[in-house]
Amino acid sequence: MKNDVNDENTAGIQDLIREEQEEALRLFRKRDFQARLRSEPRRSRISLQWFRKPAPIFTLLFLLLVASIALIKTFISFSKNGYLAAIEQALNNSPNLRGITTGQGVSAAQLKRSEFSALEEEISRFLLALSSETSVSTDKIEVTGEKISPPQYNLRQKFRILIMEKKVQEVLETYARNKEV
Amino acid sequence: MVQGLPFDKEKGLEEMLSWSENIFLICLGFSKDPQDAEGLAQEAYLKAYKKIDSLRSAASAREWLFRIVRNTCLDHRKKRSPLHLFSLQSVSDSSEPEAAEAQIIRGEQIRLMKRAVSDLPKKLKEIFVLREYGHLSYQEIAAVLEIPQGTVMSR
Repeated sequence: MKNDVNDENTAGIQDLIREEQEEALRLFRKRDFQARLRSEPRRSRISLQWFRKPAPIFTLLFLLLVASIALIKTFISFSKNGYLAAIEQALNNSPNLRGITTGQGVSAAQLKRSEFSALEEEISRFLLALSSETSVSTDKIEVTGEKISPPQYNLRQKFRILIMEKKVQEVLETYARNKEV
Repeated sequence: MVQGLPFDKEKGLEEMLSWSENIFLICLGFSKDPQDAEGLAQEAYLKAYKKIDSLRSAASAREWLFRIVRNTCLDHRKKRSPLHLFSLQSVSDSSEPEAAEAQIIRGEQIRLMKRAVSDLPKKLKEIFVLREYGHLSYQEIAAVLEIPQGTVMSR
């Protein structure tokens, strides 16, 4: 009697499992698992093979090179900005020198190429005059900036003007020291 | 796959795919939910694809894959949330109220049965799922669980 009940229970459980499996398999087949899996592992395998090939080594080296260049560029740009800031600070402490450029009626950042050339010429003339007055060689105060390319025009322009201004400041300081002596 | 022949990965992978229904059913036994089971089956296959290089013998591919499936399911059980209800998606397809009610009752019975299976001790449950859901032979279960066949039969 007890065995009969156990057998009945077992059969009932097996029926339930079978029913559950049939229902789940129906959905499983409908969703075409194999087709989806065939495409998925291929991608996975490709990604694995990719690391085994020698090509990625060169790709990685190339990326490393690009990253290094970007880093160096950032650093240089940072240095340049730091230098500009230092010059600007020095100029702010010397209002008379600032007047050399601001006296032209335009700010350095807004100068057009022709205006800049005129300003450069003006400053060069000033430097020459200063040079003869202070007996400092013009080589030391000559401004020989790089050629200006349009995309970098504003930054380079400002940079060159600031360098010129700094040189003027140096010359004036030298002149002042010489006078004291 | 024939024992002794060099292992052809591509053919091996294709053959492994032909066991997908068994694998899905084993995952179903461990997971309580057809959607979870499908996700587990997929995860197990991906693991197998990644580890295929470690498989040296074509003859042991089936046991090897089922072992991966079992381990994937056990890992999943450690992380999983409480028991999911069995999907009663088919109920909504039925237009007959009596049929729908019968399905709900059946779904509840299945849920209780699965809870009972879930409460089995781990060693018994693994064998039960591999046998009743995966339809594996005692010999295969012994190979998957790496225990003697006699132990499988006695449990």
